[in-house]
Amino acid sequence: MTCNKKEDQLIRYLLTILEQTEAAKIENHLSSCQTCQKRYERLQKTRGLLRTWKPVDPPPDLQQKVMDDMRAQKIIEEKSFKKSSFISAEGETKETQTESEKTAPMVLCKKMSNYKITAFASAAVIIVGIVLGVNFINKSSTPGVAWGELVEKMESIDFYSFKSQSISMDSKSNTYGFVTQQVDRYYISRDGFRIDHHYPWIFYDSITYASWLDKTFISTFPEIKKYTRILLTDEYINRMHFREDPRRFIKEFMSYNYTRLGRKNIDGQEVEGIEINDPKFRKFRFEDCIAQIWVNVTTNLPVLFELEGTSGHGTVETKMVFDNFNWEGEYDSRLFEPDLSGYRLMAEVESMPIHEATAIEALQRFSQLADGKYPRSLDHIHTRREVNNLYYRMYKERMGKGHLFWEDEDFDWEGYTSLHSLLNATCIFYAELFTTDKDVVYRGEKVAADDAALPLMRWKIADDMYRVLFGDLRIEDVSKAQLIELEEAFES
Amino acid sequence: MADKNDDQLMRSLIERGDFEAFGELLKRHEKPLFNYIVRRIGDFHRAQDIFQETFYRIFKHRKSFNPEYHFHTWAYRIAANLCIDELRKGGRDLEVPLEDIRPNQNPHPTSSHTNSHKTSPHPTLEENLFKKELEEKIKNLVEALPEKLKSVFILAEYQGFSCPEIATILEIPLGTVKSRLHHSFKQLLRVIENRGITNDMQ
Repeated sequence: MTCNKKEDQLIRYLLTILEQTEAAKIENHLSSCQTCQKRYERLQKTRGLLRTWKPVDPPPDLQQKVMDDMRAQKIIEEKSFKKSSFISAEGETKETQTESEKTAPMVLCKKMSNYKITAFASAAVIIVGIVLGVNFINKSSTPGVAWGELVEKMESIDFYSFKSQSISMDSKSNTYGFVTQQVDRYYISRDGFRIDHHYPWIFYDSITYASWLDKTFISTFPEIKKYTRILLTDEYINRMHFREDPRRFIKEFMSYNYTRLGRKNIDGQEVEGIEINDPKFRKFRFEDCIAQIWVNVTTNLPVLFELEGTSGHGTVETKMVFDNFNWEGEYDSRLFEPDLSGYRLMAEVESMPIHEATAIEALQRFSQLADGKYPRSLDHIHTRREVNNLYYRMYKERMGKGHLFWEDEDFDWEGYTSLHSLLNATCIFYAELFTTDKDVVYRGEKVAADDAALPLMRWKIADDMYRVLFGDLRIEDVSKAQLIELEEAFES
Repeated sequence: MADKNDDQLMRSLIERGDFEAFGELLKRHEKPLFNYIVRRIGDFHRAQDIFQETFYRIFKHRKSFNPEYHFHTWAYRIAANLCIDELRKGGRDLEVPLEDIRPNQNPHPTSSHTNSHKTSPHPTLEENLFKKELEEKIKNLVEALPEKLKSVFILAEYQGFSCPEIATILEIPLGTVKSRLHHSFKQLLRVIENRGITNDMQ
């Protein structure tokens, strides 16, 4: 009976939370007391039972999501307007620099990094802050940028390259933000474009080539020597042509009123900036929007283009950065012609018409693979990654961990490539609704196939008429008042 | 990267904002840390958000990392605090079973260190079912522990932390850790014996 008291001690011994001397005593006792030996075995067995609760596998895209968050954070920390310092021809460098860092850049940075903690400050206040901060600047005596000629000068260039990043943050979502686009190098020429993607985690790097002459869109995976090809129709080429070219943005922005920002230095280049804060400018895509263009004073060509805008009633903030421009490179057509020797063609499909029917088919195909979910956003590069995640997950479940679908002999390359093609056309369809001012909203993050009564996407088809695509992909045309009612669900 | 230890990686992250070092830390700690969060809050989906937020904070606050601590205790402390916030915020019933874990999330129960069943290399359907049910029962029991006991028990028994490490992570005295660990085990032992839960199929 005295041994009953020892149960507590045995548990402590098992869990190694006994003092050394006590533990030694128990060990001693165990070697001589059969009752306690049995008891101890029972405890060990129970502990073993408790350990049958096994760990689960994290979702396959979790690491990627975290890295996206971090990139967003890193861009906020380093890439914002604060990076470079102003210089002034009249030796006011120090003062100007301090002032500039205190006002324009910091307001934006702070807004980006604290957005979750505090409600968004009104964009109007921010715009005022920037204007106050920079208005006094330019007293430079050297000739400035000829802004009126910028568009013409840019358009006369046949070939250039740059880096692009775009982050969106949704203060209503639990995640802190995600990089929707991250392209290491973008090459644009009159005959097509090329995008170099580097995926640090699960996926292979890929290089995509769009050629207007060959009418093809080729995606290559150099590490495994495979490629896919989408044959482009003329309709597709005509409508895609300039879509990927940031000169299009800049041209559009230059048609609005702007404020001069004066001069500063970016990576050793003397630049002059303007900021677009014309109220009419918001109609372009966002509810509120600020853009800055910084142009090299010697070459008269852009060095940095940044845009920050809010949408979704102030809850979604987007920041786009185009930088690392190279306007002076020699045009080399080989850059746009993939060397496919030794490569295997895995699939060839045709581009899809840019039409709502294509969008419906794309969303349907996607949701069938994704347990009823839809792509988070209809952005070309972002949907591409989502499709990759989807296939990765499917193959992992089927084939076991560490299995990369690209390496699988039976992989459905045809289905994979046609889904990309469908989504490409959908992204263009969506982007065109944007640029033609159709008040388009897409809610792939909030609406799933089960949500038959919720609007997944909507756009204006007449003055008081909206076309609504519901969660179950049914289409209905409704009045503005009806639409407001339908969208009440998202207000809370 | 792979040959560096966590603290070296953390140093390159602090000093140079090293992308790759961060990635390596993420890779190393993903599975255990994610599982810690899943076990604490009992929801696979919300666990993803908390996991993302944990690493977001690690990166954002990297400069406030105290090198006297180890990376993993610091990371778990951040995660533990986020879990507590989440549990408070939701005001959710802490005894919610882990039903939210989609059954297909772990379609290969023998994939990692699950090879406890050594009698046959090809367990029968019945055996698998039994194991699955057993795991479910255990999961529900641990889930039902009071929050204070559960937080210690999970770190000790599933994450393999020592008592001093747990004291650092949860910011409670060492003695408290030991007594909570002891209590939680006793409580579980009692329920398991009362309900006659065993891993014998008969």
